[in-house]
Amino acid sequence: MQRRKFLKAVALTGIASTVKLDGAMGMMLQNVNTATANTPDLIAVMGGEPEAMFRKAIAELGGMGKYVKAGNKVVVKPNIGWDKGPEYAANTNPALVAEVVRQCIDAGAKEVVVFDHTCDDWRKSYQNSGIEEAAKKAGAKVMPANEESYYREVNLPNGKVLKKTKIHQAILDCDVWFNVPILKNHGGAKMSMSMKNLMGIVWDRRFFHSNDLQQCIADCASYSKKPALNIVDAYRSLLTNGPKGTNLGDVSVSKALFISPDIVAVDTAAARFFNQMQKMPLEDVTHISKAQELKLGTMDIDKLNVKRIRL
Amino acid sequence: MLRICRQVSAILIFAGIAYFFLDFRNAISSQWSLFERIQLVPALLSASIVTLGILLLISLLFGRIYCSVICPLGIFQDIINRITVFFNKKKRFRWMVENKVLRYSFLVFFIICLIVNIAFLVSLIEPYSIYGRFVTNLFKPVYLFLNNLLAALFNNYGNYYFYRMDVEILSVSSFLVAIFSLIVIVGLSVRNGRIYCNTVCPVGTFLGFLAKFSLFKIRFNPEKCNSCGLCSMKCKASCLDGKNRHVDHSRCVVCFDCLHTCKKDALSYSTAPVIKNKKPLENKSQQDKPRRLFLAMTALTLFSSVRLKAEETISKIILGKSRAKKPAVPPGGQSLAHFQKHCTAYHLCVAKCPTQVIKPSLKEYGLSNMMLPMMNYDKNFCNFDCTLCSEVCPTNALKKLTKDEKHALKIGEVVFVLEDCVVYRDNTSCGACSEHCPTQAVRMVPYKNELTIPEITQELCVGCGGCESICPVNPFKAIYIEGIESHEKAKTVEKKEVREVEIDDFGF
Repeated sequence: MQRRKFLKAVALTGIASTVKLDGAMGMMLQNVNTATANTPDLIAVMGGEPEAMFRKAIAELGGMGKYVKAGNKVVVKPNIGWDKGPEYAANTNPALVAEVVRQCIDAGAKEVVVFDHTCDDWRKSYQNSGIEEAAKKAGAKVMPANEESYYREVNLPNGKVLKKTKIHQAILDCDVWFNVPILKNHGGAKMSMSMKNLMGIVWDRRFFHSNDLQQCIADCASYSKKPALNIVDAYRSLLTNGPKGTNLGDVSVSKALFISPDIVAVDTAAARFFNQMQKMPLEDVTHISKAQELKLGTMDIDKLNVKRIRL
Repeated sequence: MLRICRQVSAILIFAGIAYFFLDFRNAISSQWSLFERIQLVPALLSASIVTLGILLLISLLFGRIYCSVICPLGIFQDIINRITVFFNKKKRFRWMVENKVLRYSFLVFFIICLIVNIAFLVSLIEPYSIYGRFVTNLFKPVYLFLNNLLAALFNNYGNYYFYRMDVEILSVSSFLVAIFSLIVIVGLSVRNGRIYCNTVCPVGTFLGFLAKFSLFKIRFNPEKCNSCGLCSMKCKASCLDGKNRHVDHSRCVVCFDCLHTCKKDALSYSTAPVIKNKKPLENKSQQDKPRRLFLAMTALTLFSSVRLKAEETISKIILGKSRAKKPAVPPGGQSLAHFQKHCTAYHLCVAKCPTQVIKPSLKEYGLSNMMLPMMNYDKNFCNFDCTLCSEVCPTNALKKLTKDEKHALKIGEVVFVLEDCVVYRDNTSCGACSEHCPTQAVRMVPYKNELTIPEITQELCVGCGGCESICPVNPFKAIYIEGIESHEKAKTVEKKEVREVEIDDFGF
């Protein structure tokens, strides 16, 4: 009896340790792999459909498994600001959002939450952007953000003007999150990309507008829990009259995608891409340089390891 | 059997109306405002001759069935009554003599208010208005609160089917009026059953007049009746004199409770034999009318002259938050004149508005039109593509709009106060107003350095209030919507094709 018990115990620990080891080994191997493959700091893709471009890019980065672990609670935060269809380029492309969600779930995420603090009526925005349906189909939970009680206050010790703000509980409670903005012109902030998209995780945006908008956008990006990746959707770009746009004349089908964990770098890249279609000097988009001053990333993308992919 | 039919249809219609008001998720289509549209005063104000005709015909055939089955306030009182009977099994009503003077005075007063257009007073005594205010101002906050409890529970477990809503008192004035009328109506119905319907309600008095001549009526069978008076005790309209076997048909709401009560089966709902003593009755009321009319007219003239003075002083005391001098009428309202003439503050648009931008007014339209809905852009704005309020309005105070009509409709004009603008004042970026503008009537144009500042193109402005609602300047916004006398056509942005831009490089 005793011996049998002992053997059993040994067997069990053995199994357990191999399982554990497996995970650890996997991570180590991945690290080795990525280290040897030299993971790019920034990926720019061009010429494909939203899903295809994302698949290619995430593979280059070493797969979604690098960011999402089994059992993780994940948030995917697109721009769903407006009651507009996907063709108007006011909201993130629903196909891209769905693909990100799917990859998270395939990587073993326990749950994936999608939300945005919208500007237009949130029910209509969720619905007409096509994001609610696409995200739900891909297996995500779509969460409301229309009411103050969904937000909790956090400190931003590194912020210059914005010292504290209320952030949506989904972000506060998750293990990992992805920032998935769309590339847009913006009347006030000049451009709306990764950093501007963070205004959708906070409750009181009027404070931003009345206390140096550009500085507040940069300050907000200093929040300690940073997105694992910033995925800038430029499948369609809103060139003029942003961030809402008036009609299709404001839109261009630009078929591009920019991904980086560095929020300053990815916005720099996206803005420079945008500048080819519609004049927008980088120095005018002052929240980018302000974020660099806060050491949130680098605008000097030419020094980064940039992977350019054409499909 | 008749009584059960009455109860079932009343409950169905009542529930339909209540749910339509409370349905903040807009799960049911606006076509279900049908129950709202068959109400008498809305039908009258929207001049829907067919509905009116049917209602009159029904009343001439069957008496005041309307008051028992269609009118939500009537059904509401029946429900209250039912609840009190539940607690007090011995509750009794008794026969009362009709107070004709009061009844017809209220009717005449109501008609005059309609004609002279004092919407506030109209809405104070009009039954559907009273009920609408109960639901919008009192029941809906409770409903939302319960919804929030459910949402809190479900959200805790990661289910987001329910979502939290902002619970707020829409306007102090209409909230107080609603509370006050709720107390009065509940109090009256607990004590005296349908006394509001048979004394104050102008619809009740009008239909009561028709009911005198209706084909089907509650009738005594003298051969079976032993004058026990049981029916009088159960008659919530106090219109049955069991001792003398007399029914006052002008006050009978045809609830069939008496039929149900009578142990001798001495009451029936049947077609008429010859009615005795009908003529003298009619003559009497006709003789009385001119005198009453004269009195009411005098009172009214006096009142309206005092009114103007009072309005001015009170307006000065109560300062509104908005800079606008005139309120913006909700879309479909056509003009201040049309809107004030047709709206009786049912607040259905207030209850249904998905962005809650429509709120009851205080003194913005003038005190005589207090509680009429207006666009309140302080925190919310009108969704560019939404036409819901115009679809549900039962009185056609808001005429139905299509999406395209709405896109080209100007309900107010934008006013920009440069000196208060954040960009001008602080030299920092903002652009919140332009961001929310669906037509780019507010556009950001180059200012100093890299800064941009709002520029107005008035003919593009639809008056949605996106700019005003989001403007961060306090307490008076730097950009706001001024109401206009009548709605105009806005210039629509011409539709364009997607822009073709050739790019074959990343740009870095």
